[in-house]
Amino acid sequence: MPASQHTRSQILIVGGGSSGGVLAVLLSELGFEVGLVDTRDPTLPFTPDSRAFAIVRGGWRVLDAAGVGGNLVNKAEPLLSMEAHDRNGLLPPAASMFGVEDLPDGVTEGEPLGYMIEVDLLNQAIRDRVNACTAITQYAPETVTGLEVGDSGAVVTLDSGKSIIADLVIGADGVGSAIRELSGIKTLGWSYEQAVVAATVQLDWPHHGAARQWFQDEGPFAILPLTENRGNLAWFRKEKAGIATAKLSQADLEAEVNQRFGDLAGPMKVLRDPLAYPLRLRLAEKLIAPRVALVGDAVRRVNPLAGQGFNLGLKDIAALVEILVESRRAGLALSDGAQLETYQRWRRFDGVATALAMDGINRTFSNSSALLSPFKRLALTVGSTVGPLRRALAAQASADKPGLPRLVRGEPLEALIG
Amino acid sequence: MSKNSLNEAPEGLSSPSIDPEEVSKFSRIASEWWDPKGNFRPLHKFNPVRLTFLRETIVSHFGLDPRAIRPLEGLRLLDIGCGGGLISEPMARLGAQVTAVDASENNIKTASVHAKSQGLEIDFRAGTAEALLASDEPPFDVVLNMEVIEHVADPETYLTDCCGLVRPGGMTVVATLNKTAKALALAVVGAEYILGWLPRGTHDYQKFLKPEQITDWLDAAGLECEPAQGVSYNPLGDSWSLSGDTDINYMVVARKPA
Repeated sequence: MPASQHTRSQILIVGGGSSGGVLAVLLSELGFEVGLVDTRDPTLPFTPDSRAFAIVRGGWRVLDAAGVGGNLVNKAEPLLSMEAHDRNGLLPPAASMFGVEDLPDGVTEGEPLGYMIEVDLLNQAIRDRVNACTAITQYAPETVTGLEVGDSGAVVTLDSGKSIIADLVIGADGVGSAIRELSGIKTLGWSYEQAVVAATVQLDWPHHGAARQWFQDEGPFAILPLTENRGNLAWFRKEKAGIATAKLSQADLEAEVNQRFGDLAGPMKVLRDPLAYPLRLRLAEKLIAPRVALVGDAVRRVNPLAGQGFNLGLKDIAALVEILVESRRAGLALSDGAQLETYQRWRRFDGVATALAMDGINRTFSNSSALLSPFKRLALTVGSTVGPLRRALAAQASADKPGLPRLVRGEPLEALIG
Repeated sequence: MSKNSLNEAPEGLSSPSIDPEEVSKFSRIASEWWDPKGNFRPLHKFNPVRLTFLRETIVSHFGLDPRAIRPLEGLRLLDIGCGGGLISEPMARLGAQVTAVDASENNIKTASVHAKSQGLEIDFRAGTAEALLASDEPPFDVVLNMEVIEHVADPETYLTDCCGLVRPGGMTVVATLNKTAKALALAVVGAEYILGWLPRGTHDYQKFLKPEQITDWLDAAGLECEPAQGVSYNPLGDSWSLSGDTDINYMVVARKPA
């Protein structure tokens, strides 16, 4: 098809979920021409999602820059501390992994580690913000059927027959990314044969803003603090057991969690239908291809033990935005290969380290073999008592390390252009 | 480019007129020039730093809007020794009306094919600064002389000719390698032989020039020079940055009094 028959878009983002939406808003606000493709019909409600994300403050700053954070202030619960306990009693009780007091030097005391937000509320807030950005051209519901990269642009074809030619295509289309597949980027990964059951409960005991995790033989059980003294349960089970648990009625689930965890967490009332999410680790071998960059879950799906997946996605977004602004400022093509390489080098290691660390934590704590027990104990002890490591963990979960994208460090969007 | 402009071009300067059959050949060469992992990798790595420097220097010289997406709109800019167009294209994207000259007809054809694929209007011409000066081409607001002078036979005459192409009130930027052991080590031994970044024989150390030499020649041509700006390579980050160290690579900005 001749170029004139394609719709033109400077940047085409494929995937209008939370990562794609935030990226579209940021790039549009910075004056880029943005197209956004999503498989979902924007007039219909999202598929319910019973999870909650712990968004660390660097990630929150990116949401703020996109104008999403403000709409969520009263809906998000400050996360003040994180605790890990060993259900088997190998450790002294209430070993706090890190809290606000462990923040690195020079960081404002009293600022929370992050905020807990229910995924449904987050998704809706991002969608509302995208819809308010009238400069974004939305193509939805649409599925990508082809990607052809040439000298003058990348042509993306959609199932409606439309085709769009873009300088740069960004794959924000999740763990099963079509853009990643069409670009020939391979992934590696494995299943944990576990599923996390996510449910929202009304707590009786005050949660004091703490995320609490208990490690037990089957896998961790966590209660994450939500507003109005509610909690989001993340119960890691063997995959089949997890899926079966998510099919229980609210009353049956309530009886089950109270019986199993009532002694740890106090009485709980289940507020909505639970859902089960299989745990799979998946890493893309590359973050870029000619005229293509990947962000978020298209790059990596990590074990959501500490809710790091979306936070990593927000860091990808901040890094890519910064690089594209730099390219435009220098007069380079947005698809400039050396600039995309810089993006890949910047973001590749973070994802791998987090994925493997999460994997390590989960494996260490979930395996009940006698051989592993001393290591299990050691890992928790080291994690909870050694000052520098605790600070490093806190810094990782927060946002003030050097070398992080400017939006993650809290610089306003306008500062990128200035 | 039409046949007419070729016929009208003065002796020693020609606009590219590309046979369609040649387009695919030059597209292949262009893709080498523009391959971030290919022979010209160091130029690509280097580009964001020097382009940002050029943008800021030009914007400040002419009092333009630093926040504009196309701040160089309305400026006539000459890129001498444009090669594959690695500087010409960004300058055109920033709004400048770019004339790009290279002695190699192949480079000009290659750069034309690539710029066209990017939707950029650039006036590419095969030729030399000397021939351009001899033509009735009006002088330019900005003359860029990036990584060229170390490759020419008579650098003094060449630089003087380039200065003649700057309009009064305009400016020029000269970038090159210093005549130091460090530059030799990095650019010739390191980049050409060890890292394999550049084709062997790209640089001849005898032709490297010290900043004082460049500024002397610019002064003699009646331009006012700023202190040389260094560009340093950080092997750990595999990145370049502006620095006070001019020992390897440096840029000299000079203004022609109005």
